[in-house]
Amino acid sequence: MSYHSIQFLGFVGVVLAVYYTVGRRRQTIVIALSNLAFYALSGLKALPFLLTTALVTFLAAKRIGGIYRAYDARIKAAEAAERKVLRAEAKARAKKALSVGMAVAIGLLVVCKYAAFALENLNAALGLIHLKQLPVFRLLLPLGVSFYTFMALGYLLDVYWKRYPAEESPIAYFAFLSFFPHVVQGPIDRYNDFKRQLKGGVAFSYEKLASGAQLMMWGFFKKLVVADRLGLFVDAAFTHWSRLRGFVLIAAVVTYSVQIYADFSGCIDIVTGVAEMMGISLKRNFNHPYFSRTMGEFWRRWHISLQEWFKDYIYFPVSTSAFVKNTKRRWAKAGRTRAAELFGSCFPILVVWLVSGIWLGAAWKYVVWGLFHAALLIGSAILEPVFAGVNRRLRIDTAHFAWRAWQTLRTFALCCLGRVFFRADDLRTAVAILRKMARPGIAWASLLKPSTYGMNIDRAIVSAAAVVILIVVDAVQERLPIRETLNRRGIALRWLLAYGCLFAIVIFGMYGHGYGSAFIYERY
Amino acid sequence: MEQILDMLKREFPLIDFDHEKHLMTDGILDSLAVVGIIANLEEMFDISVTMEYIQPENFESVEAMWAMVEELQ
Repeated sequence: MSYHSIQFLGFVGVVLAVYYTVGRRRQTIVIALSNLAFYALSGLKALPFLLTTALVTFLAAKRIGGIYRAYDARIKAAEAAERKVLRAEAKARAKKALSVGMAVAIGLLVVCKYAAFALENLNAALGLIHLKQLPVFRLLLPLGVSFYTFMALGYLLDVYWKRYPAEESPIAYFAFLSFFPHVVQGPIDRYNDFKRQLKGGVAFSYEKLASGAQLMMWGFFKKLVVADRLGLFVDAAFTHWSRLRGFVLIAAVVTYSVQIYADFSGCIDIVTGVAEMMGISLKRNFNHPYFSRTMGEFWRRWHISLQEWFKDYIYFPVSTSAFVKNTKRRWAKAGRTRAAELFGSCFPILVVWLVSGIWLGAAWKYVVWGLFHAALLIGSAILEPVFAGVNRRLRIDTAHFAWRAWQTLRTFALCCLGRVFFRADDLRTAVAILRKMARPGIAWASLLKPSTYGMNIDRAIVSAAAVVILIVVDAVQERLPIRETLNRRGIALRWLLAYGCLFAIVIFGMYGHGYGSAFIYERY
Repeated sequence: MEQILDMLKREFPLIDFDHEKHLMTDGILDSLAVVGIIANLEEMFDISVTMEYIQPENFESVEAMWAMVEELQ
């Protein structure tokens, strides 16, 4: 059941009706049952994978919590010298439970998502030395497996690091992990945030219902009117890339960058709207990323919940690991102070982006995509003093609008280059497309026949208008919270805008038989 | 605490550590800066900042960092 289907709207209607009529104490049960129903309706075969991850990580965290509770009493009663020993003992026992929970969760993710990729590459290596090939098997890819696995791992590590206590109720934990608005494409929420909001239940609020519905409608506009319309051109261009070059391919890559933003942020708006109607705030996932002036800023504004996850559970642990600390110390002792500093700041970034690429999918193109962004971030960190010196020498006014606009444009262009790896079928195709993009020349004849790209003039005009609306709304949101501002205005204006958005979706949206497509991030 | 303040002023001369009390919440310090601060604190006080302590509230202000160091010593 896709988030932009009529069935999903009906499903949300039923859930909301039950959720607000059963009483606050039973709302968690309603959420858990709704999640089960949503996941089962999306494919029964994947359900055992979700249930196994949920059960194992719940039990592992409960075990860790139990170990800490048992030791806390002993630590309090112990002498100062003995406390350190007891703390280390508790940690070692908790680590065993953590390892089991993580191994099962990561194991399921790896087997489902990466087994075929690993076997294919192993066969390629075996082929080089003329050895027998292994059979390649493909398991089904459970819906949202990358997202719910990361949420489960985050919960387990938080309990292990004593950020909050383990949950005692399996129903409450399942309600969080499989929460139907965030299970497919995130945002990657944190358990303590979720639990805090559901504590004591949620009272019905017309304001939240209306506000959530507004956000959902804007999400539908982004997905059905902007993303799916642009998708016609993007799909045609990337299918026939070998016949295109120069400007048309560059236009396709730029259009894809807008499409993926409208698609992913549209989905997040829909699910955040649904959760808001249930009185639950999900983590913010986007903050108008294409207005960023550096790649570092871009990654703080795009897919925020994933970036924060990487920061908390990979970047910090790697940065403070014994390996990094010892290497830095060794190099510093040998007089290589600058190298030690660079290693300390660059190695964790490299690890984060390698994992980020692999997380996206089992293909070399994603690994290269991750390395491309790691190179950009590491390069900008190393060269920052050089750039600052050049700017000073050339007396560039870095606060000037023109300079800021150039920075934004440069960041967008770099981002578009990375998108080629993201969208192309494989690594070889991505490299070929990049080469063809660099070949000068405009295929005017094909450009004047938009039908070549699945477009006609009317569709092109509607798509362009939709993109302009998206940019204007984002630009306004950069300055003021648009929904809160609108909610303070008269009812006539609000309804006018609501009807305008609704009619735009109904008239210009791409839906129905033969139209529409799944969300891009659904496959991750 | 003065030691921490001196180190912070030396490493980040543009930040007003005397008055900023929400360094993490307001986005004044990013993850790279936090890792640098941790390395300095570990060296200065001969402590090991474990993952339990790497939480935004422990890096919000000089006072918060000092409280964390005291706990770890």
